[in-house]
Amino acid sequence: MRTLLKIELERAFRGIGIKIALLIGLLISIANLVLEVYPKTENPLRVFVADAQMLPYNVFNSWIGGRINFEYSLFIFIIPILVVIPYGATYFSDMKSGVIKNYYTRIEKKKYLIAKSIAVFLSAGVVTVVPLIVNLAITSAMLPSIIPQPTGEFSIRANAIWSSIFYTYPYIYIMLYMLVIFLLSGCIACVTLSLSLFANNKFVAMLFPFLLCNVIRILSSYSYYYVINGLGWTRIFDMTQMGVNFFPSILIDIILFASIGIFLFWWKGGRDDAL
Amino acid sequence: MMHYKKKIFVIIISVVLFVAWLIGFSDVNNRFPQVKCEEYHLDEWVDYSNRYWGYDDLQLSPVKITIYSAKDFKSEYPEEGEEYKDKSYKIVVMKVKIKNNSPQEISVGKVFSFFTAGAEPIGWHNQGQIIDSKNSNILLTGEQEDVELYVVLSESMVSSRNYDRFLKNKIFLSVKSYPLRQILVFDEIDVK
Repeated sequence: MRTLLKIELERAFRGIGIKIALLIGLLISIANLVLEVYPKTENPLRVFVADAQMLPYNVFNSWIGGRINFEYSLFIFIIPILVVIPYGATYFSDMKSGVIKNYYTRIEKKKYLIAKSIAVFLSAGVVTVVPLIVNLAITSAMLPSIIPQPTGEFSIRANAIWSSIFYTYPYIYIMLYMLVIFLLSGCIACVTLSLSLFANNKFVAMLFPFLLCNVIRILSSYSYYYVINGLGWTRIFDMTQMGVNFFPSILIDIILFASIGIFLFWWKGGRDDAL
Repeated sequence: MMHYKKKIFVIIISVVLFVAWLIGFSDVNNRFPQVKCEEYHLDEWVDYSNRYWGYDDLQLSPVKITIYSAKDFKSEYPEEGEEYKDKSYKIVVMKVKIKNNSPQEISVGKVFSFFTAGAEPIGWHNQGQIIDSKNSNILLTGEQEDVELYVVLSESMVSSRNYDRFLKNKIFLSVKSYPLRQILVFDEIDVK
């Protein structure tokens, strides 16, 4: 199992897919640094009024995850597509090319499916989190890390998830939120694996997570119940929490995507005959 | 050999990037240090000046907070409560003492327009409004007054699920934010 996992991870992390996905994410991240962060570094006190309840421009209201703007909205919007680029469609390719037969004649089917899921999950998490980490690291070297105060400058409100952590240890809040993004991205990418069992076209399998995310986003927006209303991925991935996020919504999304992407794949993939 | 060289190259680049980040991080945080926070509780006075309005030598001190339902607020403050009588809001009334030691008369409304009510660490914040019916807006030289301002606490700001948690927070009126943070902290909370 360990050797198989190593092979799958090497295929995932050394492939062209992850390079393309990271490049797209990093381009957005760097565009944000150039357009939003860099102009603020020249004078963080440019719009600061001493008597008003304001802070200088700082990391937490300037980095890509600190303020909703075009770059962050674009990044969030393309996440369901971005996460499948590195390794999402390889199960489909392995089946079509016949590579899967080489695996199945040598190792247990279940082990292959688990190793494949782990590789897809991890590669997806990495392509979403790395651009954010790069942006945060560069911003923190250019703007001060002043601890946020609840005086109206930040969109995180009392009802928002982990608001108490944000106003006390903002870096821990960011790390926790990145963990949520990592987990959810991984689960979304795994949906492609399940679809590979049903689809007869690689791109159908790759685009299905984006379609599914959109269906959930649109349908949930009609609900008046706050947990259901907050299921849309554009809302959950937004760590500025312009629309307040709730833990049950995040949990439901993770369980939903994991059920479709991971458990269905293991169950159906294990039963299907590939040889 | 080639693989070994590549590893060394990656390590060198990583170390250089880390050192560059560390220099940038410490430099910018030295130039803009963390906020120093001063809290003022009951019977403690904070000296206050406002360059925007040209006010000097004012003093402020927190007294207490009363949290009303919209209905109770209407009966206590009919004029201000009219707007909220049919709402499910809670209204936070903050009582603050203000002393004018300056040689000029000041507008209390102008002074309080710069303040923000908040609760930490939960992160509630909102602008307050002076209760005009109970305060004279002008404060002459040497005068002292108890000013009341009300702040709306709606369900979208603090839901009923979070309300008990909110009451355990530090509720304050922020007077200055940076580089010195001065907040009037209300220790006495009366929930009607």
